[in-house]
Amino acid sequence: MNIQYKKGILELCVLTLLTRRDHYGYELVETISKSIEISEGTIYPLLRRLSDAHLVETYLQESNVGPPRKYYRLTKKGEKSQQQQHQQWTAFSQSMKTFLQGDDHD
Amino acid sequence: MTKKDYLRKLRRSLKDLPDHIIQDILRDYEEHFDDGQRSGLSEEEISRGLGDPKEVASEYLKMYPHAKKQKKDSKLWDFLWFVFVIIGGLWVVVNFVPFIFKLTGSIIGGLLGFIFFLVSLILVVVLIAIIYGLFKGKQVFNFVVGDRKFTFKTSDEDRSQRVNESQIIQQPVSDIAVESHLSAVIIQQEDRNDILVELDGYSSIRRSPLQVEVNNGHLSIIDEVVSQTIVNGNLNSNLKLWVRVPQKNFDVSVKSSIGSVKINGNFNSCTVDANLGSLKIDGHQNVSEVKCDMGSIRVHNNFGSGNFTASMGSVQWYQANNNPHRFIIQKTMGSFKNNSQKVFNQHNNTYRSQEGIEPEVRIRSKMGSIRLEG
Repeated sequence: MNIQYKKGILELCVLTLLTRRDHYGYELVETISKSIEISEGTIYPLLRRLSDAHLVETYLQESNVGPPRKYYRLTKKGEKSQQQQHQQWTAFSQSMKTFLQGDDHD
Repeated sequence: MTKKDYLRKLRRSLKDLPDHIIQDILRDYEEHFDDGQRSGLSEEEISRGLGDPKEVASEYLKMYPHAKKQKKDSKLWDFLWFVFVIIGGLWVVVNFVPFIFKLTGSIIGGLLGFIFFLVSLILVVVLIAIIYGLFKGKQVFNFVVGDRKFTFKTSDEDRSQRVNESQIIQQPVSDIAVESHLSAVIIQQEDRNDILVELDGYSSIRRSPLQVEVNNGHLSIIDEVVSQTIVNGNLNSNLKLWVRVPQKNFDVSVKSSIGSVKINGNFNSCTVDANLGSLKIDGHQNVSEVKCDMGSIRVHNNFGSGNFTASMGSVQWYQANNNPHRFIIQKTMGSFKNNSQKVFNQHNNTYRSQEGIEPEVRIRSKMGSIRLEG
């Protein structure tokens, strides 16, 4: 899949996962790379950008297996952004599908 | 590539960013390696998955385009400024020494000439020191003012670093104590269940990470400055320490050295001690103890008993509910303005409202003005 496509939807993927529950970095990378082939290192810069833009917030939580993990969670602003992007994506993919099938009955 | 190699390469590629950001980024990747190894992957496999550290770093560098640019600009500017000063100094010496010789005769002229010679010598030494400092990035000047040591650096590697720290507290908390040595403090009640502590802004002053601790329902937040280092004589900080809390009756206490304090919400008790910043308190507090040395105090819609002391700033009192408590306002300097319906009896610098049973709220101001509305 084209790299530019992936970059655009990666943000929506991360935000969507976070609407379900808080995640730590590795979880996000693992879950997303199951569905989309990504270079995993790009998720962390994205998370940082989202955090700088106050779409997500981070907190440390103790783990049983090692040092505390950094968790990411969606802010109110992030929730709104996710909804918007979701709608945009649905509308876009719908029109793209129609376009590719070429069934533009006049 | 091993974990160590990967992190080292990443660090090297990130070197233009401020140190604390680099550390924060590396921490994320360290955690990633740890988690990856725990799920059975080798360091090699994890490195491959992450992709080229240079490419990863370029994503971060794109995010902070000012980190590098600012450095170059200001170095160049500094350099030109000092060149200008030196040329200007030499010009004065060259032009005025012969002129003064002619004007005042040899003795005074000679003396002044000698002084100009010394001044130009000092200027040359300063120029050499500055150039040396520019290329080596070393500290050149140390000034001691009182018991504090200020270090002026010609290198501005630490200038106005982006600070963004946050922490979420999920344990039960009954009282909150904030001690801030640099940032402004904003305590805000919001529609939430946990507490979010967030420090955000830019600062040229070296500071240690925010210390946040919960102990027996006592939340303590300390924002500490590491050293009195002023880079290029600049003391830049617009740091804001947000404490977003749920709508519960906390006991709040804030101590602030420089930044102003803003408290928004309905708290059980509220103690504020600010040395320089102004204070703004909106909401209902049952017990208030407010002390402000220089900034102004503005209290909106306050209930219950309280003790207000302002040394220099003005005090503004907005009271929406005409509650029966009595207010006593004491001030040393500044005017007193009463916009409320209450009648105040003045005696020296003390203002007493006639209503009420006990003196529940006291406002004392040594220099600022006091204004009451309600």
